[in-house]
Amino acid sequence: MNAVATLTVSLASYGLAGWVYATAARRASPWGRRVASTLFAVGFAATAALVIATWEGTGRPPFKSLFQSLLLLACCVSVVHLVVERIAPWPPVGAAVSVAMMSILGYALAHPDLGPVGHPPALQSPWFIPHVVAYFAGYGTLLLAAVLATAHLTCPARASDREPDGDRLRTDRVRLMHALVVTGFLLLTAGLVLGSFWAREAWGAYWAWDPKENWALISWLTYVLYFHLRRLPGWNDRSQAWMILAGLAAIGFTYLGIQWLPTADSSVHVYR
Amino acid sequence: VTLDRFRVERPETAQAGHTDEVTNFASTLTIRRAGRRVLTREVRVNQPLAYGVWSLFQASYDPKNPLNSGILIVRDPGQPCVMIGLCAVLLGTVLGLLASSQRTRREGETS
Repeated sequence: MNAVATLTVSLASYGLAGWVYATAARRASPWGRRVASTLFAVGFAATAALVIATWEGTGRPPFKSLFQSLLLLACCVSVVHLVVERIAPWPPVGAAVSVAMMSILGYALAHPDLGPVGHPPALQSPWFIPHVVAYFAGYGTLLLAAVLATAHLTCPARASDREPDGDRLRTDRVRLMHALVVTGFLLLTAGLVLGSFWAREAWGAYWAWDPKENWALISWLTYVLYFHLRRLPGWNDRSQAWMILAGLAAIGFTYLGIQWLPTADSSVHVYR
Repeated sequence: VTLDRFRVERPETAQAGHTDEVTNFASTLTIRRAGRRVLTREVRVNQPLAYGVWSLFQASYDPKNPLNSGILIVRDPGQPCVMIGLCAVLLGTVLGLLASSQRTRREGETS
């Protein structure tokens, strides 16, 4: 099966999963959620199979072009979602994650970049895989935290007659969001440290003030700010959710935005 | 330091579309001290040569002249400290967040 067909199957499964998740959320049906989860896993399996096939076919980790990185991101978000769902099943989040997956894969399908991808000498290093995987696993985790934050801001769980468990639910969600930020932040830190070790070996300096490096540092500092602000009085679940969205905005700019910067031409990290 | 040889490595099987791809750049360098040859070694991208306090990197090449090789010579005595510092940041982050999650759990149990 070729790449476009595989991605279309994957996109369709995620779409179906999103629809079933939304239905399960409305009817509070645990059976529906399980079906949705299976469809979601099918979507993930198709994209993962494509990534593995590309890796085997070219003999190189397919993490270089924007198209390849989108597929890697889709895999990372899916794994995190499937793990988190086992701990805390919440169908509206499943629906929102499915929409996010459809946007990622939809964008990839609209710009299919299937030609041979050259790997310049600097990328041919044992640091390449751990550096990229740490970052994308981190991005996937923090993207899921942001989806949870959005769901939390739009459908707040408060104790009411309809939801007597509202308060407990809110505490659970706050904890889950925080756990995701902690995990994602650790992965970002690991990616940053691995990157500087690699840079020292490839370019002779651990830090080059490349636009991508600067923005990776800005995103990292945004989460550092999160960890500090949460010790302040007045911090609550809503400020937590907003701070998670601010962090994701910084990551989004690091990932896709730096190509519009006037300094992009001098960057060695821009997707071309 | 003299450059003995500079070569551009290409993939063994040049597939269609891969023909102008470069696998690596390699320079054979000889270091002399007071006219005497001390060391001859190949420097490649991602494989620098360490000599005393100096590190020699394959930094660039001249696409117009295949005989020219850009070698970066770095002396940065503070670098080991920075690398240790970076590991400390990673370790500190792990430990700090572990401690804080335990505190949160304890608070959850007492409340």
